[in-house]
Amino acid sequence: MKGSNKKNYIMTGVLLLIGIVFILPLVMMISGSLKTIGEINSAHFSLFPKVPQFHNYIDAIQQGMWIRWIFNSLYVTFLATVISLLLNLMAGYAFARLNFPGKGIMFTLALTGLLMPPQVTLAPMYIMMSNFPLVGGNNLFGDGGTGFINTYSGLIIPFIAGSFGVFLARQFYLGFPSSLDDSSRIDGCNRLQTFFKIYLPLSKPLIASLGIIKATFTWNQYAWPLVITNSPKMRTVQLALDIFKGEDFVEWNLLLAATTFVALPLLLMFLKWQDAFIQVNASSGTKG
Amino acid sequence: MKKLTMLLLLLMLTSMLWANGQQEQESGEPATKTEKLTILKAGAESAWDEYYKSSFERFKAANPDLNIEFEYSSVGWAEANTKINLMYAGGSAPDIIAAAVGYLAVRASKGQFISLDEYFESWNEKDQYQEAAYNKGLYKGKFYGLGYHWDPRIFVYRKDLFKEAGLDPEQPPTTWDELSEYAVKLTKKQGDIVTQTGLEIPSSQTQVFSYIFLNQNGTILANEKTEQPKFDSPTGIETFEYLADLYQKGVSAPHAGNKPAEKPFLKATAAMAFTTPSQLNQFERSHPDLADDLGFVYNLKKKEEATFGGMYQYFISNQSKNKDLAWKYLTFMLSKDETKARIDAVNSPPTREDTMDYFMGKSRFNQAIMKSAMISKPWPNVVWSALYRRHLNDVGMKTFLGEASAKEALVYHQQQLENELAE
Amino acid sequence: MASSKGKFSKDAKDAYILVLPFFVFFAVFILIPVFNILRFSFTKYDLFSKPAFVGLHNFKFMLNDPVFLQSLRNTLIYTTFTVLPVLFFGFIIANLLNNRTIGAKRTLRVLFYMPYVPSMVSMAVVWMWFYDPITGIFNHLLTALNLPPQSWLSDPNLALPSIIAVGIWQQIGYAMVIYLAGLQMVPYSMYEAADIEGAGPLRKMVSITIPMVKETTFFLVVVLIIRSFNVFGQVNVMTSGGPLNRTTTIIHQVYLRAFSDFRFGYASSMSFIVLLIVGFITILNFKYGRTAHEREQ
Repeated sequence: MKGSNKKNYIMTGVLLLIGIVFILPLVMMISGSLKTIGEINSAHFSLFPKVPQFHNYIDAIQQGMWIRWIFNSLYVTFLATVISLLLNLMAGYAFARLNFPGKGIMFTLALTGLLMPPQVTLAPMYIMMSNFPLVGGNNLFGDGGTGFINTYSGLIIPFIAGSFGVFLARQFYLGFPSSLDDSSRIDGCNRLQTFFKIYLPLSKPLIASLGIIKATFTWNQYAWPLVITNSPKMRTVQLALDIFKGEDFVEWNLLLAATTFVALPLLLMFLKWQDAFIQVNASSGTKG
Repeated sequence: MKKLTMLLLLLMLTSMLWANGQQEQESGEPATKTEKLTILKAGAESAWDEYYKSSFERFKAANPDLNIEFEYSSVGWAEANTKINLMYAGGSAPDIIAAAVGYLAVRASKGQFISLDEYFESWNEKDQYQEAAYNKGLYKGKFYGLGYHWDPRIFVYRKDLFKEAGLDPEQPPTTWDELSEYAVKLTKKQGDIVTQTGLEIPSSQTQVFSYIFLNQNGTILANEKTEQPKFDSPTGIETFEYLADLYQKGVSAPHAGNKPAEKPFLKATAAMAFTTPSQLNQFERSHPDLADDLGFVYNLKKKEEATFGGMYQYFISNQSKNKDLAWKYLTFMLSKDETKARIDAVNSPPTREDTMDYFMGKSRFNQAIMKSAMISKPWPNVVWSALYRRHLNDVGMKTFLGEASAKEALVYHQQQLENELAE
Repeated sequence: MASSKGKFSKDAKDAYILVLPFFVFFAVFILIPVFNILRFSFTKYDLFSKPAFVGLHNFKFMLNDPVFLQSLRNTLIYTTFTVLPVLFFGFIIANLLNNRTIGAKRTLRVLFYMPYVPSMVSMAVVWMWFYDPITGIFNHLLTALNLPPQSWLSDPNLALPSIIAVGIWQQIGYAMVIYLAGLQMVPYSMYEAADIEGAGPLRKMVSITIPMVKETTFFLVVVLIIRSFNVFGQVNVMTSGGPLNRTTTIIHQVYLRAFSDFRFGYASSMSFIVLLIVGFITILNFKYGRTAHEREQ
């Protein structure tokens, strides 16, 4: 690596400075979470609180049912991520390596799944979930009960159905040497065995990467949990942040504290798996 | 081996999923003759959630012969309409909806709410119910919304800042001319920046503010009987000319009308403002030393004394299978004891005549709140209320910012509304 | 090769076992709702009474709806001025990070990616606080420099740029990370060859780096455009579409019409338009992306 060390150090320093300024909003979020409400509302500005009010975090958690809400988010995110990982990896392998009638149509249709934001499909999905036959008190025609409304399944199912993971998995598996399939065929394995015995064990970076994406997406969801849950007991953490937003007054100090600890698990997850994440995203960008 | 563990994992997960899809009872009561009441509350504040939970306990205690189970849910104000629409669409509307008067017209007209006339007639305490509250629950002559909580805007002013500016703190403005005169006197600037707001005027989300003055001038820019807009009325033009002129005198630090965090009053930098009950309490918490310096005005007017006021109301849904029980719960909620419990829990301005004194004695601001509630006016009782508010806001912003004259803006938006309503 | 028909059908059975679990979920919970939206586009429906067929009426009304047209304009402006800066800055920062030591690289990577982690709504709420006219940090900075404070979210000329700023800030890290991965694929030997020819850093970037990450760029363009077209959270939280409709976006209009105005059929027709536009762009990318890839084989 040519170029003077001094120049490198200076550049690194400059970048670090830019980086810190870049995350200033996050720093302020944390500093705001440690201020009193009077400090936040005062016309006088200060970057840091006079005395850090760590109890804001305790106060925020004590309002409502945070233990339950955190459990809800963990449960829903975990199940949605694990199940959709499995389904997406299986389908991704099939699209990458196998030929079958209807492959083109299914793949093209799956493309449309990438395009729609929740606000658009919210209403029809909700109506379908509440009238789903043989669930939640519904009869065969979907009448009578409340279907998937206010259930964990209702929260989880739409997130299993997303198609983004299929594309990422397909990209990833396209990068495997086809000799793997040939040799497993020679050994007498069928495609299922090839997938589970050979491809899956080699998919760790994909699992880490797709896992982060799915988990982050599910954890950050607001619109769907809002409409599918009724009782405060079933809220997820993003919904729970609403309790600090009164009709005409926002408890900023508590809201910022809650926002911080709601975002924390995702950040830790990224810190742990960032290498795999980058490696897998590499392949998504290099094969059209 | 790996395949086996994966299969087991999958099995475990699917059974968990299935198990959870099968339940969601609040309590594990056996299915003897249990009646169920579902309630949806618009607004997700914990204080109200706690209050409702305690009201269920009290109701059950007062009715030991009834085996009743409550299912309660609350959703933030911003998304309440979405939630309610979806529940009706999915056929799972709750028995009782606790929302506000703004929800009344359109849902009553669609038949989503049942009329409560018969129930109300048979209520033995109906004489204690405020007439003003009753009138706000009507749509096309029928009674739909049982109001239980007033949410008025209160005209508040800072006596200490009045004294500073050489004005008599016991003589606040009562006419529009006095208002603009005082507003200018009470404004302090540093260059172009307003450091002390004379009269708080929002620079966006202006509709509540404009509505107060429109009512004071005797108009609501709509004909409630025919449900047609009347934006281009001379009174409307006169009102907006006045407001735009006042705004352009620079008497207010700019802020969004729907963001309490931006209100100069709450930062103790405004001399006069329209504020809400909870903001008054917030002011007291943030600036306890200034709470005694607050004065209130109820008789500001041009033609009428008026301010803006919402009201929380109970509605019974047409999809309810327990309408009688729902009404029984509502009469309980409006009973004297429960009203007092509500006042204690969330300082709720009551709709019962015989609890008003109790309320006004409870906190220093409650008298101001109650008096403002009595002169407050809700949004027009029309099914296109959401559209009305958006267009009213646009008229306000265009005229305040000088992008259009009052006449131009009102005529334009009248046309737009007519186009929309022709749909 | 063994009998291709036999292999094909055996493969096909396995393929279906692998694909159908995903596809069934997908078809039931995404395709069917999308199909319903398309169906409702041609109706007048308030989500309560029975839908009434109105043919193309919703689309005609859309063309004359000044608020919708404004939202289309806003969405296009938002998309252009978010996607381009995100690509540009993401690329530059990725390049600058690429040559750091491992330790610094990891730290910097995390720093720039962090804004992307929390939900957009959470970050919008925090930025709303920054834009506060009196207590917000931006106005504090301005007054400290003796400049007049601004109404970032209430001034019709500043509101959309303010919202765009949040979008750019949140997504730069994402673009950076994708570019970092793409840059790893550029063989160092190409740079060495250019060095021998005496090429300067700018020349190297333009002639080597940019073309080599073309496909990464394409991927990002598609993803960012789709996301920008669907922007809703920031608008709903920070400005409610105002002031004077300068920040309302298409999806925001869909939301308002569907759930405030009881005009679900009209909202569906707007969704239809979004699907068409975004679908068109995606198909373009897959077509172009594939031919470019094939060209290089």
